Amino acid sequence: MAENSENKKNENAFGDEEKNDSIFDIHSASLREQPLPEEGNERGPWWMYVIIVLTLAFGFFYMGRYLGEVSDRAHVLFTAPPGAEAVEEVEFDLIAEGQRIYTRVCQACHQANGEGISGVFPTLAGAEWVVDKPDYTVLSILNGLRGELVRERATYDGVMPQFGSQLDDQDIAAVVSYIRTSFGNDAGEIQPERVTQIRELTADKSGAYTAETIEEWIARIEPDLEESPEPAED
Amino acid sequence: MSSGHLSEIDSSVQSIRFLDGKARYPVLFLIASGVLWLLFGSLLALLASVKMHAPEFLGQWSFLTFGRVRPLHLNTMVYGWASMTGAGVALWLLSRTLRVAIPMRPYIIGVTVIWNIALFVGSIQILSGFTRGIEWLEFPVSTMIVIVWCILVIGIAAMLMLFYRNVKTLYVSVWYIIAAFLWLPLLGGVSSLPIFNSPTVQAGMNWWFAHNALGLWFTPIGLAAAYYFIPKVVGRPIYSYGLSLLGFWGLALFYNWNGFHHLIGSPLPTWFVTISIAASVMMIIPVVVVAVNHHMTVVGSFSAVKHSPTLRFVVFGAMSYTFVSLQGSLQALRSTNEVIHFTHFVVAHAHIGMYAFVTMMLFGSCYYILPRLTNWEWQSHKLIKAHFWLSAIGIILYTVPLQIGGVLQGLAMNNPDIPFMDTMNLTIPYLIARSVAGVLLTAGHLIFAYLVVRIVSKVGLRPEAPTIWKKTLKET
Amino acid sequence: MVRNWILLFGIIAVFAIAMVGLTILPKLVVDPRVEAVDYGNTFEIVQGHAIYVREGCIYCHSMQVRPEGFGADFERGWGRASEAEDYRNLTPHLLGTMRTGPDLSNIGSRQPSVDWHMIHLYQPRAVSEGSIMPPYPWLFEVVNETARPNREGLSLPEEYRIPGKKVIPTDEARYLVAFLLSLNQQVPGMED
Repeated sequence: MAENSENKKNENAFGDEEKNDSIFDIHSASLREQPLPEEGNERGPWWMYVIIVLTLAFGFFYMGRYLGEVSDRAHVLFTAPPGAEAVEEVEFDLIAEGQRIYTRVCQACHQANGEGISGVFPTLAGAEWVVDKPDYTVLSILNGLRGELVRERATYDGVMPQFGSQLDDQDIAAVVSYIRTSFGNDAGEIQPERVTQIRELTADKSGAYTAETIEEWIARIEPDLEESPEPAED
Repeated sequence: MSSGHLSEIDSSVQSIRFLDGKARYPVLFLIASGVLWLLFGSLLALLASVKMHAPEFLGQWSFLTFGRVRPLHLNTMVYGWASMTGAGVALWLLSRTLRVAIPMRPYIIGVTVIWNIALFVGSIQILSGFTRGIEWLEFPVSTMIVIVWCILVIGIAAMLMLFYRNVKTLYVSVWYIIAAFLWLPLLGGVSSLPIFNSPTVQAGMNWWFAHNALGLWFTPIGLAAAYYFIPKVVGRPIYSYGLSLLGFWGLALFYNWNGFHHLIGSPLPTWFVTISIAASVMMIIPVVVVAVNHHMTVVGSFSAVKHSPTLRFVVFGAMSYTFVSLQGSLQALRSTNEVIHFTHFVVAHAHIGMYAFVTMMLFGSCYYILPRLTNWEWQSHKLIKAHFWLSAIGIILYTVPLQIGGVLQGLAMNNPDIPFMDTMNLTIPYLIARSVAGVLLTAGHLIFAYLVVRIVSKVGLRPEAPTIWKKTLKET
Repeated sequence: MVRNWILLFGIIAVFAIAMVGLTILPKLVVDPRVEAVDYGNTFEIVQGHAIYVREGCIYCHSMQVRPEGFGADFERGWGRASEAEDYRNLTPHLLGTMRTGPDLSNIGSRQPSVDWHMIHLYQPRAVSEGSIMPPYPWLFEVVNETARPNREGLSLPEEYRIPGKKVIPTDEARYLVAFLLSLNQQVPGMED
């Protein structure tokens, strides 16, 4: 090996020549560090090979187990195949479902405690429209509400979006039932049938209600509705 | 076993004094630039970290908002500090292991100037909102292409060294470095192509790139440094050439495929993701092989780890590499990923990779290289020690609490009964711990920068012997 | 020299194979699905997307819902599992990898209130107690109460009001909110 480089003495392909350094400098640089020893050729411990074999085996097993189909589909083999887990039919709980919907779509504005934000988003706790006149609440959810609104504790001037297109009658009944029984409210549940009825009666209404038009519409549909839910006892 | 023999490399006639002299300006410039970006990146890191638990802190200025400071921190650290210093270290290692002076020196210095300008322009771009918006690729494409081109030019110098070398055999470090200099420009080029436009496909390209930037650029340079400095400082041969070979080709084969484990549960076709998970698990093979190879080389010489600044950092880095890679393999499995995906756990994991492994490796390399380039000695072994402990304790204080917090965050997130706000709230103490760790790390960086300034400007008296923590030892 | 070429060839080959496998193939497989969809992206939505990118929302909000049974994304009401078609074909992608804040795939239907989004962008803690989201005051103008009579100010909670002033959203804020409201999983041709 050494002979090979003997011929190339002190120069290399880029024309760099080694010069000017005193022998002392060259030596002090080399003496300052240890030479790089030639690599050994050990085989490695046996357990290393065990790890290699096990890793390969696991890798291929994993690939076979989860490759799924070679297609453009995502989420293959992520959900358990139907029937794998016994489908336990839980009794539908209006309030529990309502809480889930509330957390998802209502909570950001009306807050987790139903207090809303004073002057910005109306409070639901103890609100007349929630406790005593739930039809107002159903109408607001179905079509939204805008403009100046004078309520018990503050005056609001904002926009509540409509949720009629993304929540079905059962969802709306559930979430209204939830807010009627939470945050210190103590009114009863309302049933999906009533929401269905209201939705049908207000099918002509487009756009959000204002404080005035919601009164008009309530007055218009009230006679056609079946009996109002009994008012909550305070 | 041939421990008695010198390798061909050290019996070459090219004296190391000559090689180091030629390496002086290009490598020094790259490392010094890197250190500058390290300081800037640390500042951004502290800012981003504090903003996570004090959202109003400096919140009035758009250019200092979290969403701009955080990506700039990543980009300056990755394309500034680690890439520049890494390129410098890699060139020096090639010069040593191929026994050839670094060619194209004026060009290398020239592109380093351009590289610095590109980073500066890119920083202003990100802070003022001109971002490409892809994680790890926030610099606008034009800026990124300039940076990749700079690395490509340095890579050409590396290829020239390979072809005009003065030794016959290729040392293991050379394989890694040559691979790194080929892979990065390819990665940068492909990721800049305007063909990955539909969102999911771009997300795939994104994580293919981001994971490979670590795996195919920084990891090879870090491992090349470990493969050189460990036997060099310890004075014992690398345990096994065969294992080196297995480790290198194992990495090349499996690491390339890892990227999609960042996209488990995403809308990308499942089979791609599954291949990535399997490849991530397979990474155990090269990692264990490399770990065995390094460990068996150091074993019995641990006193050197105590006394040599270089070895201390390098061994810390090598151990971190083993740890972070094995952790990565486990993280890729669906069942663990279900918990830790989308949490701070992954952030901490990335820092074990980029800091505890790559950055520590680069610090160790600098402690070895700079005295040889400057023909001067480090001014204070106490400060080196302080730097080591600040970095080591800092990164442990950063990652351990944050990974615990990340697991708790993930478990909470997967429990729908816990309000989402609580999954964020529970991480706050861990985020504060991270800011404390960030202060320690930054202090370490300041010490390092001070030492670099001192040795480059040759201030003070030249110490008689290498700055190490024991008189009898030869090397630093 | 043979050694050099084996090394170089091997290095490039392993890279090229994986590159095709993880970038080109997914493109060939997924792109046809997306190209077929007409999203009708409006000017506001495109601008809003750019502002979302500019402010780095992606670093805290993901936009990918994992399938039911994997995590609790579905139970949290973030929507059904995301599909390639969901993303309005805007670049850069916004899938994200962090959930310091909630997933936004379906925020347009979960939170359709413009008022809420405006206040939340101006001062997150005004509507979301304990939030660590940064405020974005530069998307708003603070002007005298009497100025711009045709523009209404945000109705902020008491403690965030500035006496004698009102806070008006800029066009950028409107675009961003338009983009956020466009984020829902009702993709044309994918109703169910």
